[in-house]
Amino acid sequence: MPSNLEDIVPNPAPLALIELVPASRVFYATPNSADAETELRTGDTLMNTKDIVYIALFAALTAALGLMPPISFAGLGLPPITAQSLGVMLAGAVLGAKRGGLALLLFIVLVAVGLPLLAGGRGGFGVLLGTSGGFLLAWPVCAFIIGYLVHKNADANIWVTGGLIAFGGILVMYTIGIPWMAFVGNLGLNKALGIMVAYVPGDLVKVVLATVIARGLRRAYPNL
Amino acid sequence: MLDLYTPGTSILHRMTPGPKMAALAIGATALFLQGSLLITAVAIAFILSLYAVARIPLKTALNQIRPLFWIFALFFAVQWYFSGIELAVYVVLRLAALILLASLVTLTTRSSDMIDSLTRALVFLKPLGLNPEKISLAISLALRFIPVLGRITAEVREAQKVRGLERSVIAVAMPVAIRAIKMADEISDAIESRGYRS
Repeated sequence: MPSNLEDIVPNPAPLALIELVPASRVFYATPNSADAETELRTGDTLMNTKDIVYIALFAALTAALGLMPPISFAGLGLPPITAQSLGVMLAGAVLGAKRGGLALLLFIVLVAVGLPLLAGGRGGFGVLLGTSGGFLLAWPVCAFIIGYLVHKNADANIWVTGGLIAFGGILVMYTIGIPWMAFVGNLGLNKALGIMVAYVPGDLVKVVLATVIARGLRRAYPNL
Repeated sequence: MLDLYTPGTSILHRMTPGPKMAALAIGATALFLQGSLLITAVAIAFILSLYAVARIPLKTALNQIRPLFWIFALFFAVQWYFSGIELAVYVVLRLAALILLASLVTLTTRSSDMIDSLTRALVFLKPLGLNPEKISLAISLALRFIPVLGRITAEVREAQKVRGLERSVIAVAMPVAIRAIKMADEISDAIESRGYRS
């Protein structure tokens, strides 16, 4: 019974053949060593394939949430309540700061280039420059902050996680979005603030959903 | 590709996305820096004449601002009440000009061209460690994932309907999220096994 590789393959010819293939064309069998090799060779430790796919997935998730019918109130006088900011909270809480922020950045880029991915089939530069543009541009920032806070306190209980998601998904978003709305609409901060109070209940529901789903996903995939 | 582009052959359609984006940025900034009602009105007239150059019917142009009609009405009412009618007209016209200008870029540029230009422009970021090819991969994956997520949701909803749970948000959202992550893992393995280098 041969005990090592040389006994089974006495002729080293196949190995010599491999050396004819440039080192950069050799692929490694296991995904992990392939990652490590690629990162070593290109000096690119920024993102591996899985990160890119996750980023694309959560950008798509935010877009898909826009397909749910938006709830309009006040006679359509205001931007409708949509499920899309749930995508912001989930991307941050599930993917973490860097990947979550990039997922929403990707989403905003897709909207900016003219794809109708916002709730109600809106898209294009007009929306980003309009009154609710500040909220949209805040999304990557919010996802980043939520991701940073939630992952830093990964062992926190459900209330703390929920609080952190609410901080990033409501407080930070309004802090960026409301002054923008006040500026673009020439409204004055107090009036813009008054309008936005109507959105808090809906956003709180989304915080609860995001907290439960993110914790469930973390349990199902501990090293996401 | 699903997109807001309106086909045409005008000079605005044939321009590359880069200059159009630059013009939009300058135009939008200029609109905010000036404070005169007259200039804003002239700007609107000029932007509408650009729609004529692009041979985009006025109806399409108005469709761009129609979803915002109620916001305009609200802002108009608030401004009129607090600051007088002149400022109210100015604010609403400025907003309309901004949205018409931005929509013109969107209407005359294919999303795919815009993504191509963007990817090319990002080559300059390569020394910073950002790889444009990764960005194109992420863009095409995201666009492909949208209908897939819709399909997964429909399937899960069907399955939960059997259990009488189709109205429970968590009972639907949780399996959708887990299946989506599982799919993402499989796809990233498939991409790597075909020799894609991240």
